[in-house]
Amino acid sequence: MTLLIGLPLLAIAAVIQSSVIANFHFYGGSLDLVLIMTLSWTLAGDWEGGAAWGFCGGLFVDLLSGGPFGLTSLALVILAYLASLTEGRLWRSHVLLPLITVAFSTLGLHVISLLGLSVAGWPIDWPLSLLRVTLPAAVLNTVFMLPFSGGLRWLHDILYPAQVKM
Amino acid sequence: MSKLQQRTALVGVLVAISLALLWLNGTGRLEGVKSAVSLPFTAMQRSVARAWGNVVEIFQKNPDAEAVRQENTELQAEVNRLQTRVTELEENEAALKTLSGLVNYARTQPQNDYLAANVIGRDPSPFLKYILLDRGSDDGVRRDMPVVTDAGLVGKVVEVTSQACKVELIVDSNSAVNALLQKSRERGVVVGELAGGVVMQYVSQQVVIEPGEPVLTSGLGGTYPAGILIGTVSAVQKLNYEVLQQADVTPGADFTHLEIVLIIVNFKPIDLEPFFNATPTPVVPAP
Repeated sequence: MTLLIGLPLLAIAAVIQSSVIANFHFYGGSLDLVLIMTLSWTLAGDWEGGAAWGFCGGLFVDLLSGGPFGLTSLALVILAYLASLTEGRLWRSHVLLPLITVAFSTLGLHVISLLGLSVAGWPIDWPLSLLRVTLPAAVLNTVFMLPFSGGLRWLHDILYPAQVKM
Repeated sequence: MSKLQQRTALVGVLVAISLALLWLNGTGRLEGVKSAVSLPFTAMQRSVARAWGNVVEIFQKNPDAEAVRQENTELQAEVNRLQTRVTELEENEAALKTLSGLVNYARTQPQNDYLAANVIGRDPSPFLKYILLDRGSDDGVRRDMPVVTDAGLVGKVVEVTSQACKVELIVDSNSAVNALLQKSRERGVVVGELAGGVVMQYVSQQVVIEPGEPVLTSGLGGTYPAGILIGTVSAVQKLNYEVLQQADVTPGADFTHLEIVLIIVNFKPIDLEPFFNATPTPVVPAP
């Protein structure tokens, strides 16, 4: 069920990210729709499914990217797993959790991407990349996280209603 | 096995698959699979890019439409119909203008055969500068073909599927183009920068570079034809204690508004690899 919902949503998100969102930049950064959706779905409560979303979403992004194939999926699987470690914590339902998660995950995604590109032979200017691209992207992703997080939590609750013990 | 252990195992498997894909991609064995899988994505991108183009046109060309709507429902429908028609015509005019520019450019370079292509996507990664075009191997596009507009060099084809291709822009930080300053005839290498600009490096300190001087492809290395405009010098970075100087170059092509480009389909890049890999023949002493 997770992939049945996730595959079309992530495919559309990746295409929109490439065809529409890539035209808009906030300073040097841009919105990462697939990252936001993966984290939102994970934090909505599908702890295993989040990693699967990250894997598939990452492959879709890699398919449309000129970078090494498999790099984004690797990064998103790791980030979804780290986000899933909040399961069972008392502060899991805190409103700030998705915002903090996406801010740090943006940094994580970019660091893994830059490492991968560096290994593949791209010349990387780390300070410039982190300051001009990662920082604005983290701000942008944080701003857009709440509506996506709310929407996907709503969808998750419809598909997987919480069981009440009588 | 606890839930967390199960999840860790799943993530381990997915990470292993991702690493395997990275390795397979490096060896070039995934090209066929990627080409097949990207077909539906190309079709989706075409539709989304077209729809997005229409939306942009409406917002750019019709800012007062909201006020018109409030005036009268009947008039609104008529205005909207006419406005759509005007937008269509303006869009056609803009396309015609772009195409005539490209045709004029093509006429000035009769030695090249061109194939026009629409830009249907950009790289989703903020660190990479690639575009996706709606022409692929079915149209005769091959890897390493140069891509230009009438304003200058755009990049080269780095990946081809049957219906689309990926172009590495000259502003990508991995791109390097052998270049020539038009007036001084001095050679250098134009490389991309993360910020989206290009810099001409490895220019001798003895050369006087003037801002505004055109920078062309030199043809050295055989990856691009000679004489294509890359851009113009905007600033010179010269330090007396350094052996070489470099110049900031403003690219001729506007990479943020690329819509239609030309692929040079008859250019065959020269493979110089054998020269670098050749084992020197031992000299046999005379008997």
